Amino acid sequence: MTPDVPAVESAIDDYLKDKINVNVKLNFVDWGNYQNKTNLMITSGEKFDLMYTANWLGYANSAAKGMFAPIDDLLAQYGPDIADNLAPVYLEGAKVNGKLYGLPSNKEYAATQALLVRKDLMDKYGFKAEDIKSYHDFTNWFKTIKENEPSIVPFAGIGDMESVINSQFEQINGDYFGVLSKQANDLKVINPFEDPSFTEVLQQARDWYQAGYIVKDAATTQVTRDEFMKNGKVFSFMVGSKPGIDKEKSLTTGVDLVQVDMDKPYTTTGDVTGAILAISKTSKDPARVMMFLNLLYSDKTLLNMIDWGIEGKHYVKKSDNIIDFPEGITSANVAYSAQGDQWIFGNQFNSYLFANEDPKKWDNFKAFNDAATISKALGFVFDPTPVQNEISACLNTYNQYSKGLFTGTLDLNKYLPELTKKLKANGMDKIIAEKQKQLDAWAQAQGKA
Amino acid sequence: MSRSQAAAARRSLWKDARRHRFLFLLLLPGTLYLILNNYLPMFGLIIAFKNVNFTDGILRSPWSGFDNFKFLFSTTDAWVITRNTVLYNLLFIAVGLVLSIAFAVLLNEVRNRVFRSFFQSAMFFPYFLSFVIVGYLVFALLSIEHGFVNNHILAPLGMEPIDWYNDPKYWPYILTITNLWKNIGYGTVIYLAAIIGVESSYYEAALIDGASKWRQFGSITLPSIMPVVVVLTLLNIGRIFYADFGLFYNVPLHTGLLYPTTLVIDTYVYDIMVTRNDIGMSTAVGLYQAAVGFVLVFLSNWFVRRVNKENALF
Amino acid sequence: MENAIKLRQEEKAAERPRKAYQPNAVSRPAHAAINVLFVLYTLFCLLPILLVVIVSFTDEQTVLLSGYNYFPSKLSLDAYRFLFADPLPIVRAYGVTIGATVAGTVVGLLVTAAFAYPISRRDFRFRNVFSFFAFFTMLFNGGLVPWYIVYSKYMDIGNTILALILPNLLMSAFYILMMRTFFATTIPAEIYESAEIDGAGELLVFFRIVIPLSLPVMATVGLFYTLQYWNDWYNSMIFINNDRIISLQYLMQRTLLNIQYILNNSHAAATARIDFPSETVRMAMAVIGIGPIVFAYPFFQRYFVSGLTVGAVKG
Repeated sequence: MTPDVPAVESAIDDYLKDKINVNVKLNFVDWGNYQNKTNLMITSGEKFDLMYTANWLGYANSAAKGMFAPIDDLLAQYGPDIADNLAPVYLEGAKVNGKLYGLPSNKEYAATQALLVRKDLMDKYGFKAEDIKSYHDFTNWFKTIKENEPSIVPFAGIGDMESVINSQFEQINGDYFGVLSKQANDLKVINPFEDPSFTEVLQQARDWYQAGYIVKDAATTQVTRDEFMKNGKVFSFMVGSKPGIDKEKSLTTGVDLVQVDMDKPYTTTGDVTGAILAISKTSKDPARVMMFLNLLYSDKTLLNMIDWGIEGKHYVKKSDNIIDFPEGITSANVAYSAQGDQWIFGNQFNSYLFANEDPKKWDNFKAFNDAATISKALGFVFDPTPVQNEISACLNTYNQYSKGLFTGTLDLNKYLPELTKKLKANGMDKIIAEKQKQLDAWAQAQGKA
Repeated sequence: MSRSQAAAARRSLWKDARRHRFLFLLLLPGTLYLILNNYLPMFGLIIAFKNVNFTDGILRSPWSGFDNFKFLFSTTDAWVITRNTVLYNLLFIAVGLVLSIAFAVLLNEVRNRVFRSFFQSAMFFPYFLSFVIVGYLVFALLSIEHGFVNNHILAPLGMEPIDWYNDPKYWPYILTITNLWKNIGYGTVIYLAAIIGVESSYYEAALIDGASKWRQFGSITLPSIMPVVVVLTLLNIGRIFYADFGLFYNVPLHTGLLYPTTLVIDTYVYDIMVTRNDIGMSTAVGLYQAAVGFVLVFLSNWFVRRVNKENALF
Repeated sequence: MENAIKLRQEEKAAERPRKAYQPNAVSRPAHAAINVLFVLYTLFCLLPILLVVIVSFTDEQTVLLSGYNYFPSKLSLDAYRFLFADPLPIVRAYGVTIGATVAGTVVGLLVTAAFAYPISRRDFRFRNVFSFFAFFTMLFNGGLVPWYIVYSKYMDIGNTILALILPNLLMSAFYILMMRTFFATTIPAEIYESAEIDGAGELLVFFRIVIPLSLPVMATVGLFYTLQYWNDWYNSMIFINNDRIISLQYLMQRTLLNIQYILNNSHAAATARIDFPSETVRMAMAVIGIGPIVFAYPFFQRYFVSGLTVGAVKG
């Protein structure tokens, strides 16, 4: 729903004419097919300049295979204003084999996990967020709901226990085959499936499931937790969190939610590589692309043109940094906006806020970032090549059991040993050893060991 | 062969080609299309033996031998996925064949034309649905919470609900029935077309001889459609290492616990490729599947040739 | 030529008595049993589809809280309202799909038949070579990327309607070989001999005799091509970057994927409310997707009933 893309493009061109003289062509690709399409563009060598990528879209792998241009030198030469507008952890965390291949968006760079709870029921039964010291304490709430609200399931349970796991362990390379303990914050790679706190989480899931606190079909249903919440089926679910997540989710589900934080913000390589703009290897003039990036991080006008379109046409200013839709226009029929994906571009702290958003949003983000514990392994990127086949085999084994165990559908006394044994047979130890080896080498090179 | 014989053979080859020059004209568009759509991209098969990086480009990337194939065999499930793929395909080919022919023959006996058209259309209907939708329908039937079977069949009978999605042993039946339900109309249409093509004079002669319906089927219908049966079966054998991704991915709702009876080569590879976009590996899988199918078709075709040369594929 | 025209007249004449007189029918009880069997099987096929239709008209919350039901407690048009909120894209996509389907089916059928005919001729010396040439493509392919490069770089048909017609869909070796077998078994070799004596050219034989005599298989393959074009979303996804020329199924698939993405991804569209009934929308899209194509089926089915009269040729 962006029929005005050409209009915005020409407005941007006009604006940039005297600055860096470029013609901008915006290419919107749907999220649903984003990975397919961009992979194809890259592998077939199509010509383009700049694209969005991220760790979960294979940023490190693509960079290692030479799909993106290394930008250290370009940054030094043509991006003088970027360093001022981008927290240093980002440049640290986005390096692959010591070289920078993309610029992360400046936004929240830490993650926490939180339980989102229906406010009406919380008030009704007098639940207090302070009572929650660990996830085990949810049991009391769930029990009350189960006993008093027969039509409501206390906990969605779909992918929720992974949040609990993620609050305790730092994944390396996006999987659980060798992780770091967040509590210890050291550089020792451990096997989570043999860690007591991991088993504890699964046992809790199993107990909740058997007590009827988790949606029965949690392991197979295709309905998401947000939908269950929206339709009044569940009392709570968990999310990877950031400031204002309760407001965001209240908006999407149409249900008033309260956020119960589970842990302190923590920053890992994965958190700083969630949104990256990378220059394609096929770009004809990477220097000029870097000049454009330089403006994207420092020039408020340019960023907001890309984020929100043309002033007066697609938005109106309420005050310096607060905007709203013009008369008669809503988010459903506005002819241009980055469709809620503003976070992928440049310096988000320069982006205008909508009138219905928390005017302190960016201040909250900054405070959140400042409070974050930085992982010792920040900036370490694992090269999976030596153990690719083992990872594939383990992934398959993991998929076989994970949903069943995380939702409590499966008896962990029977299936967890089975899973652990099969993972071992498929080379789990080899992966852990390789991760440890690369991590040690990296630490040594960084002078951290 | 003497030189003059060779020359004569060449002459007759040339003569034949000239005599059928219009046939070549008919072959031309299809041939060009196959070259463009299939044979040109086939040079990409070398990617299966390369460790592709984009600094060097595809052609200059280093060779990697059979490295790209290894991941298929390095898992403890290698045997399971191969077994599942082959057994399901054999089952689908055999049962599908018998049922399609049976339906086609019976349909041909329905005298009322309106009924016949209606039955035929209705049978074909499930083919219109995508496996994504079929997956949801199966879930509506079997889910533990609202499933039709558990709540409206087993419960009234006083039986314990069955957690279908937690036990792999049910799935060979569920997948087979689902697949037949969706695709049987397709096979029936083909065999119906074949049966309609049988010359009616044969049946008239059989009628005069007083042959029973069964005899007519055995000595007229079946032999007449045999060439179609043989060719379709040969073609299906060629794809025996390819599983229907839609069926095996969507219908079990990618439930991991069902892997022992639902994981096939294509779904296994898909799960890995989601996290690893490696064209070397995906090309290698395709090549492996094709090569096995090719060998099998070659053997089967050789066998068919020995029995009846006319029916062979090539 | 003369001969061919005569054939067609005889064909018409032969049809009439067949309808009235059926000496070779099964016994009454057997006939009844067959009908009962088909009625049951028809129900088995249609009831699930009826469920799809009903769910598409059910209230979303009812579906989420009590599952799929033939007799839902609350009906709703929300799914269709959501999909047709802006009807223009759907109408346009219908147009694109119909255009690509008609063009692709007609051309594809012709090219396929033209290829299948020569290799069905036993007197054609190179039949095995070309059969193998076609068969080989059924198994081996170079993978997505080289194939994509051929079409997008060398043919340069990206973002055109041709991209919905040409790549992969136009002709399939499977149907070539199937059709070859039909031609070889249903068309008597004598026809070619008599045609040769008459001096009718090969092309005439093909167009005036082989095709009319093979209507059932032409209809079968035509139906399959039609469905294949109708159901295709992949070519749109790969080759098209312009919403004006995407196929209906791609529009549907994309809507679905985007809904899923929004639901599963915490950082997407943070400000957008989940204002779509995703469960029922899925079913509504299936209904919209199969609706019109169902009416194409009887068109092809006609040729199954009238059809072959090879007997008349020989007579």
